[in-house]
Amino acid sequence: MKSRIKYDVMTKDELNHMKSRMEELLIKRGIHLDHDEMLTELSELGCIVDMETKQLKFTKELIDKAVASVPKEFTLYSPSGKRDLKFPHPEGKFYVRTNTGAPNYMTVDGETHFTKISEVNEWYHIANQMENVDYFTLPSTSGEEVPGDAVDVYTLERALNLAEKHIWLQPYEGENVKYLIDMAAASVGGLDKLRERPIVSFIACSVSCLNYKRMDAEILYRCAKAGLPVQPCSLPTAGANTPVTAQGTAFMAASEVFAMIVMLQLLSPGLPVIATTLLFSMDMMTTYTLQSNTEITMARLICMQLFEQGYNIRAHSYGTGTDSLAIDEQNMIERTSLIHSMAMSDASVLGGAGQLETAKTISPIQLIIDNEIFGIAQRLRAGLEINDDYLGWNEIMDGVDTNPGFIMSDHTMKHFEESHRPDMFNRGGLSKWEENGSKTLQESAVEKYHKLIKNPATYSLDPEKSAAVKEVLKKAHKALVKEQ
Amino acid sequence: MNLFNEVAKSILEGDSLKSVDLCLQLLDMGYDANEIIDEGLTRGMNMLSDLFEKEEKFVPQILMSARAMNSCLEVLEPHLCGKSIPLNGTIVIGTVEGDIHNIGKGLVALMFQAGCFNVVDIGTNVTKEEFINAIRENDASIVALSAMLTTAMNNMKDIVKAINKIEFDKPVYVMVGGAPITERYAKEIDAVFAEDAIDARDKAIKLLRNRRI
Ligand code: B12
Repeated sequence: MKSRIKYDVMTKDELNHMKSRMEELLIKRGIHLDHDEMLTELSELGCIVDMETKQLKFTKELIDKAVASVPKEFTLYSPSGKRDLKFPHPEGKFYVRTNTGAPNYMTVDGETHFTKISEVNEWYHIANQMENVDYFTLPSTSGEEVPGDAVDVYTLERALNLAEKHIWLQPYEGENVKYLIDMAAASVGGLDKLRERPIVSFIACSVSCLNYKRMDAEILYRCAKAGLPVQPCSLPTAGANTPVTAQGTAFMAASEVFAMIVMLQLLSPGLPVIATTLLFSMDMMTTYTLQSNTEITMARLICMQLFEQGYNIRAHSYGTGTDSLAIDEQNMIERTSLIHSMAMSDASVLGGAGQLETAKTISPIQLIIDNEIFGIAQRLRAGLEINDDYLGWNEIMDGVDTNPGFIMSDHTMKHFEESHRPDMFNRGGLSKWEENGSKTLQESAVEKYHKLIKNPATYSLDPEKSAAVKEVLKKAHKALVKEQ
Repeated sequence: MNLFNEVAKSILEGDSLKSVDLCLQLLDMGYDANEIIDEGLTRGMNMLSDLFEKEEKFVPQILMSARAMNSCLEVLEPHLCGKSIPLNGTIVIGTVEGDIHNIGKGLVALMFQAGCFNVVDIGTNVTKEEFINAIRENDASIVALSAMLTTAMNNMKDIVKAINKIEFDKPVYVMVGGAPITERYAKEIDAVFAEDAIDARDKAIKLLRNRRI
């Protein structure tokens, strides 16, 4: 087993304190859940429910039962079958996913506007080719390009046709959930097949503190019924709707996500879940939401440790991103520092690849650069093993350094290819660099983009299934799109 | 020690109890309520604005100071010799239909209050009809619409169009904001744009400057 460098923010005692307070919160204060069927079923399962106020409280027994039924191993499947994701990662690595929900697209020329459907196609074409990006989300296509009431459904139709990796779905309206599931099912040949090999998983979000609106409850409920994996999210903003401290915000986000996991396990024992705490904070000068505040980075680590170590539940948070509006130095400092910290945490998934402007913009150039940073981060997570072979003990003792030297020694021949070598980084001297056009990393990324964009598609859905998906899209359009 | 300075200082510190106590002392001493407002409260708020500009004070402190000032105004109102509190007018605010984000809208509402407006917050996911009724019922001078989702922008456009078509008893300014909303978009849909809560307050004051009650 390779060793791992690990950042633990909490001591064992602190971790236990968090756990017991979190459970106490769900038992004593409980949650507000806007979904009558779900309240009724959960009440039958033993939760304490007030149907009038829609308040629900858990018991310690139910919490323990739910935690025990979280599957310790599961797979998120890929449409192509080439990128199925086993949890926990068999090599101790983390998985990377692209950013979800950003309304803006920054083109290769640096122009930013609401996302066009052609750019969704481009996004999947590039993302398919990113070896360090493991699964995808839906870009938020503009309501000017596709009907505003069905943005998620229209974008999923593109994803199912083009994406070779697992898709994490963010619905925009409660009524759309059914069609999103039907559409994914159509792409694999039916609901049973989808349940067997879920190529999509879902996002459901709480509203801090401890509220679950109708749409998100509906997502939980339908996924529980359809046996589809959920990555339940909390997106608190420290100082605005959760405590201003990183600790308090981590605590609330984790509690909200934990409540969703408990409900899902009660409704559908064994359902794959990934605890997804996506933390933000409010800047007390500008009041803007920030993603890259230093304390909030540590709060993410608290959540990762809490779920992974405290409950053996897989955990996911932002693992890249920036509050900068440009691909500039602030951007690179913020994202590298976040990627690095999260890679050294217990996290199973690092999210947000390709984003800038606090998750409001995605850029293919940023995605290409993130792919590079994640390569480094995976290498860091693997750590270094200590034994005589790695020390080069025999060659040192044999005096290989004096004759013939290490450059061609057996030990070098055995190990030299193990070093991680970022694709686009400068590794040479000044004159060669100048000769090649004195390119910055960003310019190299643009060059790589132009190469990748010309490559043939790595995946496309078979035409029959594609037609079935289109059929669902038509039905969804009819049902969801109100005439303007 | 000059008691007016003390009032200004306690407003700056956001100390409601102390500010009210000082206002009562000044009234007891026979000072005019208008003078207390100008020399004490307003001066305190101006000092705060200067410090905020210099990035030495933060938004929560502005809100605390505004709360202290509003408490003082309540105490001073009966002494204003028939004049009502210098309220800037009524603003109806809500997040448009299809959108439930409320943090930004809530902050803008608080900042309007800090700007001495009467604020009616009608919540999130608000329909055209609800906005129009609220404007009528509250005799509002400004209606402020928030949208955080690009998918809710069409609804915003529709609502603004409907409001602008109606002849209310007095002119109603429409202000819009939220993450995806830009100056250009606001112009396109015929509304006033504000970037953030402070800008919203400042623009509202400008809009109604000539119409103070
Ligand atoms: C917190 C948050 C949530 C919370 C909201 C909690 C709450 N009580 O409001 C929760 C988790 C519930 C949520 C839900 C959703 N969210 Co959300 N959310 C955010 C987040 C992270 C921060 C928003 C925020 O509160 N900012 C803080 C405030 C202070 O800033 P602000 O709102 O911009 O306000 C400032 C200005 O815009 C302005 N302003 C705001 N309103 C007004 C009004 C007027 C009149 C004026 C003048 C000015 C003004 O003043 C404020 C500053 O002083 C943003 C990402 C981001 N970076 O902004 C995503 C974001 C807006 N959400 C997004 C999405 C997709 C959703 C969901 C659809 C996701 C889902 N499936 O659950 C749902 C929406 C459901 C619905 N129908 O509304 C996307 C938007 C996509 C798009 N197409 O536009 C974003 C960009 C994130 C992302 N990448 O996915 N969200």
